[in-house]
Amino acid sequence: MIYKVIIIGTGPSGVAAAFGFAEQGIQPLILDVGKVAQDVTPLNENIYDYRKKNDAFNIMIGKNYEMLDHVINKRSPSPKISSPYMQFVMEDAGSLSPITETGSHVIQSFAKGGLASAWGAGLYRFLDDELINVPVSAAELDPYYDKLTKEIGISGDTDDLTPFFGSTENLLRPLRLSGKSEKLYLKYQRTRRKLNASGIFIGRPRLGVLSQAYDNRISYNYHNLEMWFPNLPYIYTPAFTLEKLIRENKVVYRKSILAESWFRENGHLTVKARNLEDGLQVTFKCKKLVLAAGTINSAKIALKSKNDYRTKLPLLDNSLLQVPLITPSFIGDKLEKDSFGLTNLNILFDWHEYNLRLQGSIIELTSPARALFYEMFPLSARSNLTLIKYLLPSVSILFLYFPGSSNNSGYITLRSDNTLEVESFPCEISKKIIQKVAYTLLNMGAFTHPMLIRPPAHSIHYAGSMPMVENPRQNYHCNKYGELYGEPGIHVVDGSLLSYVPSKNHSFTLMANAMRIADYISRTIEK
Amino acid sequence: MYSFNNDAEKIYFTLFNKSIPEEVYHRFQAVSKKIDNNYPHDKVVQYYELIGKTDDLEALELAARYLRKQPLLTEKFKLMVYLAEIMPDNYDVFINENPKRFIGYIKIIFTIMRTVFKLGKGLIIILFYKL
Ligand SMILES: Cc1cc2nc3c(=O)[nH]c(=O)nc-3n(C[C@H](O)[C@H](O)[C@H](O)COP(=O)(O)OP(=O)(O)OC[C@H]3O[C@@H](n4cnc5c(N)ncnc54)[C@H](O)[C@@H]3O)c2cc1C
Repeated sequence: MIYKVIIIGTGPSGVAAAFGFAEQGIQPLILDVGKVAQDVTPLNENIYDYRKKNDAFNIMIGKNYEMLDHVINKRSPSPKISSPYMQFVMEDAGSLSPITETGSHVIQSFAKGGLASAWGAGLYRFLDDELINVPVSAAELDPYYDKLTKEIGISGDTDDLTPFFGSTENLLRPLRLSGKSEKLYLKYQRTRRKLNASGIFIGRPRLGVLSQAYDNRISYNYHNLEMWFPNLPYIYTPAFTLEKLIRENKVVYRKSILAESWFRENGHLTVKARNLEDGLQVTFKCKKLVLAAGTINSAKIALKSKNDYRTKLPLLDNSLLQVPLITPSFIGDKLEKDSFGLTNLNILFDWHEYNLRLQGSIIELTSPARALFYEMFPLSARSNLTLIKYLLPSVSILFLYFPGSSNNSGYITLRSDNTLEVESFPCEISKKIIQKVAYTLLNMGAFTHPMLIRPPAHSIHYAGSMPMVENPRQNYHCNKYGELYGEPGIHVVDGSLLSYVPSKNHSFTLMANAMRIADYISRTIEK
Repeated sequence: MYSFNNDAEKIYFTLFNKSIPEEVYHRFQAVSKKIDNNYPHDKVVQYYELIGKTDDLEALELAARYLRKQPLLTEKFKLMVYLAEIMPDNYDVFINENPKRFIGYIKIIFTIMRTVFKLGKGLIIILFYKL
């Protein structure tokens, strides 16, 4: 059988492409490794209320001590991916796609839903001045952003960030703010004119988290489970849309398939893959192949298909600065057990004098284990426990993203033994900027100090390996429709296409762009 | 030499001033060996000797952390905090459920002073044992 379209991957970009094809009446075959979470029912009470009565070993440490992997093996992926029931997100990644890495730790997912199975669901539109070096405008993406907004159920508000975040149509009302965030927001509102004049704006985030029941899913219940339980109905993951498409027979889904490369025969494309259930080689034929295996693995499939063990493809990411914020009036206060444990507010520093726009997420620290902070506090062991109890309720954290571009990219190369070599270092961040950020926040009543800020890390917003350019003239460059140069019918739709990642979570844009490309392919196939 | 099993008891007591529950003890043992395996044998032996000899583990751990000596000790403390936090018995150690603003400030000031004292004491212990 020759499929019209095969999609590799079910992360945000693969699922959005499938959604786009389904809208156009094309039933794609989706190939995916498709790791899934173990069957676990989320608590129906607040995690802290549960902990008061129960030993939380299975949830917070794990039967195989999964949560302690960073203590045992000194690896430190995001705490959310380390939590026991979230292990499926990175399950077997090291053996399915071995990597030797220099610099930052690289994270790959072979899960149904991809990395987004553990994401913070921050979903942001890019503006024209953020779509740098790509032959696509915000207006071209807008119809797809709109459709996805309806599909996902995004909460947000009309506020000072609307000019940076775009249309508010169909947004659900925002989630409830934590006490600290509310205080900061009030302080901002009182002095906003002055702050806006110096390029500082605060507002509500755009989140794929339901503030009200939507599309047969319940609303967020402030139980603080987001760190510990997968597939919570109120936090959107692409797997939800995928399930729906499978149920409605709009896609054919094959899991346990590891795609390796493609080749051409008799005018069609053939995907060479491994069936992970029996270890045997399998092939699938199609007219169009859509690569949505994530920036790193789509690049790997392309390099392998060309037997190219030399080329260094770029790997971009946002460097991430984690800035702790102490709100002194909350010292000694009770822990807000029922606050939303992810992004409460966004802050934007639009600094023309530095030619820099930085977006940050102000995050509550109620979700992770308190022990995580024990490691970070500098006092003696028992004194650190005192800080956890009395200081931590006053602390939130600002995740500040820095743009990623070819100036600060890493690279990916495929070795002949099929391992990937990945080199990536977060960019240096000027002390002046750090001081300015700290000073601004201090003025708003949130105490921080450059000394409390840890060195920059990466944010797992990978991009740029096969960029989309106006007129592709070299291998691994794609045209406006993600079609690889010299490879008719091969379309890339994931983060690989962006040769610049602004200071913004990029998955919503990957999704809108994937839908746009699916639309284009559907039209050309029908011809 | 101090018993290889008893670092769990001593660290738990240092942190929480009470004896270690059985579950925590067994869980600590299960992971502890794996952490030991990350270190050269002589460092592991030194660690267990120190546990046996030192009365004020908190002071020793703090000074060792600052001087980047005996990271194994710091890791064992970290491990114990993770394992202890999930027990309902320790809920109140980690979570403040009643606003105690004034007390909170006082406790933090006191705890910083305590750390300074412990650091001094820890440095002396390190000098004494020529770590
Ligand atoms: C903790 C965390 C929080 C995050 N928070 C946010 C956020 O708030 N907002 C945001 O925009 N982004 C966030 N991200 C980033 C976001 O999750 C990723 O950018 C996004 O998932 C990338 O989507 P993708 O479709 O390109 O690839 P992935 O999500 O990586 O999915 C890849 C898919 O391809 C499949 N696959 C890979 N290789 C093969 C192969 N060879 N054969 C078959 N199938 C294959 C995998 O099974 C998987 O389904 C977060 C990430 C993490 C880890």
